[in-house]
Amino acid sequence: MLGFLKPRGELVEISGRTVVFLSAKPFKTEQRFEVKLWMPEPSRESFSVPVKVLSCRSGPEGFYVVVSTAEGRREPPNRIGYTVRGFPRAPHRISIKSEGLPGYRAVTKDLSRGGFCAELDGELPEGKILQVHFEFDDPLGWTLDLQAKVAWACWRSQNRYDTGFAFLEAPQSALALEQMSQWLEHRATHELVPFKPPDKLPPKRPSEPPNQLPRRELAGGDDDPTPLGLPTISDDDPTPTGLPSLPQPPPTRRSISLAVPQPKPLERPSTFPLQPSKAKSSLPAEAEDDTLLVKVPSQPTSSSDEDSVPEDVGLHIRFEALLRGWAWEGADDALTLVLEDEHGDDHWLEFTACRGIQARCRQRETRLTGMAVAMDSSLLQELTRDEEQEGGWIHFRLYDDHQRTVVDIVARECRGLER
Amino acid sequence: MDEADGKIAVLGAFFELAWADGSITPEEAEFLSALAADMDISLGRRIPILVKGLTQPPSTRITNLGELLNDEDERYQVAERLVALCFLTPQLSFKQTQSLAGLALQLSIEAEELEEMRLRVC
Repeated sequence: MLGFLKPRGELVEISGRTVVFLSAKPFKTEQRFEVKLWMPEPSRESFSVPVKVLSCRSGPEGFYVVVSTAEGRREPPNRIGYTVRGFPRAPHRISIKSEGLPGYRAVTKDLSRGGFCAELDGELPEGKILQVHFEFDDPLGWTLDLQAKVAWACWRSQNRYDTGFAFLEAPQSALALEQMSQWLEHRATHELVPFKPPDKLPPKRPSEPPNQLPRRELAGGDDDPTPLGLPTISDDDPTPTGLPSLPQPPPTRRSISLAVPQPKPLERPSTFPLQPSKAKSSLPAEAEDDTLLVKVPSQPTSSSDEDSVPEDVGLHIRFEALLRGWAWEGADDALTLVLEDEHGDDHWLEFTACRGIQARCRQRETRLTGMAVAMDSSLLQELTRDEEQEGGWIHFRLYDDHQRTVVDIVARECRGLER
Repeated sequence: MDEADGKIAVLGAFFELAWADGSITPEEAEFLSALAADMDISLGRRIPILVKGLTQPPSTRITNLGELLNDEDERYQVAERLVALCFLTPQLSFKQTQSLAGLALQLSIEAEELEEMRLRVC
């Protein structure tokens, strides 16, 4: 595979070597690739991690939740991104029994109001619904019966599978879910005080569902029990690796785009001339040697020059880099520019047959956000007026994030140099 | 051909499409610039390629796009982006649509699929 575009994802969490992210497309188990992950706004930070997919399941808003393990020598730093889990989970080990469980019984690895994870002696198909009997140690002998649906299964070893369950929000389970919620809340705040289960809780009114957010409407007029803005039922369950609980609020997420990045509108759009203009010198002969003065790398100019926004000419090439410096290869009329990319790698660009450079920055370590290229500009005409009428010169304008010109270069072409 | 060269060859198809009507618009330049960044072509290679591609039409036409992209998902991704480039501006150029059709043919993308992509990206 050529890897035309690196797979992209929205980071949910990195914990140790476990990387959880949202993806617009599903991945196969054991699939290996380098994924470009994005953090939530406003940071919009992105980074790449080589991963191997452990599991992939459907997630909120049509995305897929991908649980993977980071590959490579170095363990990536722990990060928390988008929130996909509706309820915080805690590592409670509770005995469970069910006719549908392989071996009929198991112990939970973690538990939340939305679901639980347990390691089972066999694989259960996604979507299977079980009646699960919970046997608590605190208080001893207290039990709850809940309906749960298999949300995902992840192979661990031999015939052992970590399996995530999501509780079903059936009316007959409302009381038990409410008690489960109270138990979890109590355990979170009172570690040593025994939990006293209520004898009976008032049944919930239909207008007060457990979650007050509006619901999705399904075809046929039925309500999807999943509230809008919250994960679907399969998202409430824990991911298979015992990651810490994530914060409660629903995610504010950028859409993952297979879509094309929309270009930013230009302030003063200009069309690019198909044929370069062939400017003739209109200056008197005695003034034509002025280009030599510009050809030498210029001294930093005054602050008024630095702050001025120049005429917007040419087509824009957006990138982010640090301008580390430049040097002349005098004999060849070549100017070499050194840029540092976001990963800290240096890149050397050679501007051949360079006719001049005008630097407008006080220091060389300047952050660049792009380059405009034009084949017709006043500077270009000025610096190439003694070049017969060959044409083919290009005006390169490197600018910063305020669109202020950092460096102007007039040269024949721009080449990459391997150093 | 290594992966980076393959990506650059694929990018060449986009330049070919952008130049089909004889000029490059600022919108197309920004699109191509963003695309090259998305393709993770290193900065040192990306800038010269973009400069060259934006300042002069490609001297050769790409004929082996399908061979460069043997993965179906990738072919669809490329085709979708080609469609998006073609429909960046409301004024549709006949030469660009001709060029798009030729490139889609190389990718084994059918007309109905192109239309679906157009509806999706526009």
